[in-house]
Amino acid sequence: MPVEFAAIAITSVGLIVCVALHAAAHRFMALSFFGILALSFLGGAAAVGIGHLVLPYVYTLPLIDRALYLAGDLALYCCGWYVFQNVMGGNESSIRFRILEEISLAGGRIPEDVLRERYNDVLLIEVRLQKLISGGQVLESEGRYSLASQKLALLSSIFWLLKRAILRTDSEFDCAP
Amino acid sequence: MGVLLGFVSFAVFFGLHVAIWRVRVPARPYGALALLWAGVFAILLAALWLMAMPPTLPAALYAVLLGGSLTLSYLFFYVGIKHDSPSLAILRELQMRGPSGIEADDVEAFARRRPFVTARLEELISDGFVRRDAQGVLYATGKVTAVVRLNEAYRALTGQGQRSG
Repeated sequence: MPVEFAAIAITSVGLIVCVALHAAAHRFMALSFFGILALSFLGGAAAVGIGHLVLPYVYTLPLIDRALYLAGDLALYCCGWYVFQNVMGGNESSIRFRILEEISLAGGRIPEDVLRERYNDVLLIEVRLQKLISGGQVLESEGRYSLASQKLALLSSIFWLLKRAILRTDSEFDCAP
Repeated sequence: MGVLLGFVSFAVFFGLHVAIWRVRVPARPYGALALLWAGVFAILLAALWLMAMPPTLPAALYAVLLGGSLTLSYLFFYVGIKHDSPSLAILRELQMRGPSGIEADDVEAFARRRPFVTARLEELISDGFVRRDAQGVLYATGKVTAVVRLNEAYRALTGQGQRSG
C-alpha cells in the first residue's frame, strides 16, 4: 500500500476516535461543552500521533517526509474535526440550522408569524447574551452589561479585522462597500 | 509531493481569493471559492506535468484530499467572516462602549439594528433552501433535509439537549 494511503488511513482512524469520544462524552460524561470539544479533539489527535509513531516501522521514510506526512495528516484531521463540529454541532449556534429545524419539526411547513413567535431577532440576542453572562464572558450589574472576557474580545477583533481585510466592511448590516 | 501540493494549492488559492475579493465579492461566493481552488489545483498539476515532475497517483489523491479539505474548512470559516456572529457582535458592541457597557434597555434596539434571524431567513429563501408562499407559509425545499435529519439523529443518539440557535 502506498504511504499516502497509510497516512489517509491514520487520519481516518483519528477522526473515528474523535467522533466516538464526542458521542460517548455527550452520552456518559458530565463535561462542559468546551470539555467535550477538548476531549474529542485531543483524543483523535493522539490517535493520529500514535499512528505516526508506528509509520516509520512499516515504511522507510526520510525524516523530512515523516514530518511532512505528520503535518499533512494533522491538517487533514483538523479539517475533518472542524467540518464535523460545524455539521453536527450546527444547531448549537447556527441560525440557519435552527430555522430549518423549526420547519422540519413542524412537518416541513410553518407560517412565518409562528416561526417568528418561537424564534426572532430579539429572542436570539437575548439568548446569546444570557449564554455569554452564564459563561462569564459578559458581566451583568445594575441593569448594565459590560465585557468581562478579554480573550473573546480578542477573537471578536480578529474576525472584525478579517472582515475588514477581505470584505472591506465592518458588519454585514453596514451598507455595501 | 502530495502534502506539499495540497498545502501550496491552498496557499495560492487563499492569496488569490483575498486579492479578488478586495476588488469585488462574487455574487455566489461559496461556489466561486470552490471553483477557484479547483482551478488553482488544476493549473499547479499541469505546471508539474510541464516541468516533467508529475506526482504519482496516490500523491495526487492525497493532495486533492488535503487541499480540498482545507478549502472546505475555509468555506465554513468564510461563513463566519461574511456573516456576523451574534455573540461576537454583542462582544464587539460591549468592547466599543468601554467599561460602562450598555443598558439592558438597549438590547432590543441592538437586536433591531442587527436583524440576524430575518437576514438568515431571507438568505435561506434566496438560496432556495426555503420557499415562502403568498400566504406567508414557509416550506423546506428538501435541499438540506438530509443534513438536518442527520444532525437530529446524532443529537438523539448522543442524548444532547434542546437546540438553542
